[in-house]
Amino acid sequence: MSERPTHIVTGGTGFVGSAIILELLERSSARIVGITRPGSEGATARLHGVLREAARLYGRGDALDVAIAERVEGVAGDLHAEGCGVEPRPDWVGAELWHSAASLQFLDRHAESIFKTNVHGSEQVAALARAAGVGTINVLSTAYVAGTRSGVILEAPAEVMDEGTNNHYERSKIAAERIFEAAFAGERLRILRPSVVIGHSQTRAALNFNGLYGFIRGVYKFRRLMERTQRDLGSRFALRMIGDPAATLNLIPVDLLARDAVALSLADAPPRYYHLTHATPMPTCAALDVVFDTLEMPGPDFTDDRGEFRWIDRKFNRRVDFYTAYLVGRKDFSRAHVDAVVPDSAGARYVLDEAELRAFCRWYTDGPLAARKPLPESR
Amino acid sequence: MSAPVVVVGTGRCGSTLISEMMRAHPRVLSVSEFFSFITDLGALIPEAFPTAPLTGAEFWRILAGCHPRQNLLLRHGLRMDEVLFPPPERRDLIEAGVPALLLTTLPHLSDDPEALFAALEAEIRTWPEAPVGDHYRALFADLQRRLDRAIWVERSGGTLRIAHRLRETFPEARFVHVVRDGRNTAISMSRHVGFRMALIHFQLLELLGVDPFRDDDRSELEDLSDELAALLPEEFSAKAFWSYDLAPSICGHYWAGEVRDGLAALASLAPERLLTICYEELLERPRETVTRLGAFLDLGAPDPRWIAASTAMIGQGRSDWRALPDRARRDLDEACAPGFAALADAGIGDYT
Repeated sequence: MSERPTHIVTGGTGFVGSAIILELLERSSARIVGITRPGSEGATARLHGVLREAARLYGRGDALDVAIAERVEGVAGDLHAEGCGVEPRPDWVGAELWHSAASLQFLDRHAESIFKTNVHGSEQVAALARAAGVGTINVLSTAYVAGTRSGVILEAPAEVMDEGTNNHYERSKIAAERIFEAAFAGERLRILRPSVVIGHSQTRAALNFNGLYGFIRGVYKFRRLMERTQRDLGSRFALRMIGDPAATLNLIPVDLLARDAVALSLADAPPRYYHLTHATPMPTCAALDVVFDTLEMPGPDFTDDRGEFRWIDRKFNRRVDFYTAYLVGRKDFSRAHVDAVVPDSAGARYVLDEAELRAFCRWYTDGPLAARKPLPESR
Repeated sequence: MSAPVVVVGTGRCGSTLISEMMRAHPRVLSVSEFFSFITDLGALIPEAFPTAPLTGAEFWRILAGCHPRQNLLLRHGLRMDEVLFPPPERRDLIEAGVPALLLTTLPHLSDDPEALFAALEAEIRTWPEAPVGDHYRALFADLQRRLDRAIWVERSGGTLRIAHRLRETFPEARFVHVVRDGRNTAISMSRHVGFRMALIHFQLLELLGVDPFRDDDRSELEDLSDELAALLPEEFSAKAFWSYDLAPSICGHYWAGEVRDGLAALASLAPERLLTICYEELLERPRETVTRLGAFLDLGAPDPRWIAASTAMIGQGRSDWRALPDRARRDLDEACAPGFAALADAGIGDYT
């Protein structure tokens, strides 16, 4: 039997899960087992393909190809099946499990699917962890289990109830945390809470286009929509948005989040809650100006009164309503637990200024957005 | 011989009334909703104006296509007043799909539109390769011969959007531009099946990133609101269609954009080739306005019977923006403002 530690990862083909696997490959000698839907190509081939793609997007080229081939194994599984539909192996006893599989959907029509993946799926992962006899569990949650609260947010159990949340996604993540808290009370359970995850800190590349990218896409599409009916409108019209001068936007590059998460694991951090967030987030209004400028639109006029909205502002704000919850109110995510274990935390040292944010936005607008299929003319 | 006439407007501006007046004229071939339906309510505009020459068979495919948007509406019982064929009880035809030309244009010209359709098909399919403008001219000339009319006048709802293409395609044509208060136009659009579909389609197109009627890629489905997702062709229902909140302000915004671009497209026409008619003028001074329209047709001495018949067709507009609640009225005013400014710059109407 191998002397190397084993890490079992759910969501290894996702944005965060794949970054964690790459980090584990670089920083440890661990063997990785990815519980993965097999798709048409098989679990291992699918997982290897995503990891190789991520490694290239993140500037590692083929440097990790051998490690991926030799140390990563895909095991076909399904979060929706009992015990994830996986038969635990003897060498999984004492392993470390990372649960990063999640639905990032947020629309009301997907409520059932969100809860099925994030809540029912967590129950199945908890059952698998128990059956396998894993030694440590890392649950990738979200810093936004804080819901509508503002001010200092401690690394502590989520306090809010359903009415204190903004959407189904937040509610499902709170419920998922509670499943693990109940199942593994007093055991080695770490709840890891990232803020808004963005691309790689050096290449800016991302595998997933939710969060910041979803907002950029929302603004971009609104502009195009308005211009399909009235040419050039987007470049000559400043939209009004709710703006909070005190608010900050907490963005964390995926590689830095993975580095801190793996650093916690390697340091054998105690079972606690950890905010994997940016230590000095930038003001939200400045960040929004960068987003609009990248899209060649006048910066938004900020107001704290929806009564000042014109009809077009109401249309716009309704379209990006999901994101508004993350643009108002100041949340100061305490990082005391992370900093105590990882004094040189990547999230603490990283500087995200306007130029850097612009580079992230440009990567998305010049890449995936520009590569969308051309749409038919309507004139 | 008088040059043909193309009537353009934003749609819901009173241009249908102009079509009806044209139809009453003994020397005019009134071609109705031709470009609306062959472009599937504006969704297939480049396809209807190809830049390369095409054969008669290819041209026939433009005319006789069973297009998805208008046929989806028909299958769900969402029938525009403009659609004259097939009768609602002909479910077999409706389920099979109805060619664009048969919906409105031919039923206005013949009591047996299917026979006329078949006759045109037999002839047009044999036509040699030619630019699309020549094909359109040949089609209208054929209909003029069949019906013994001196000139053709085409009028489709919303063709101000393609005024630049119509000018390029028919450089010899004269244009009638029908203008109506954008606020009343917008209210009317927000209730009209065709305009609702066209504006909903714009939203589906931009938010989904593909034309959902031509591409089954749904990878950006998450960017559609629940209400819009219910209007995808695979989910569509009449209830979802009418439930969708298409505020008059959105239509006002559309109207303003159309007016701005349309005026720019028509600006360089010589004065004798452009007649602008305000719908409100038609209501307030019907005889004078109809007489002006008759003179523009350039078909000889004024025909008093036609002027009388046309004047008698004029009723009252049904939309009244003043009846909207305060907030909706303000929104609509704001949305229409760029269009009013463009009209004022062009010296058209008084919509203050």
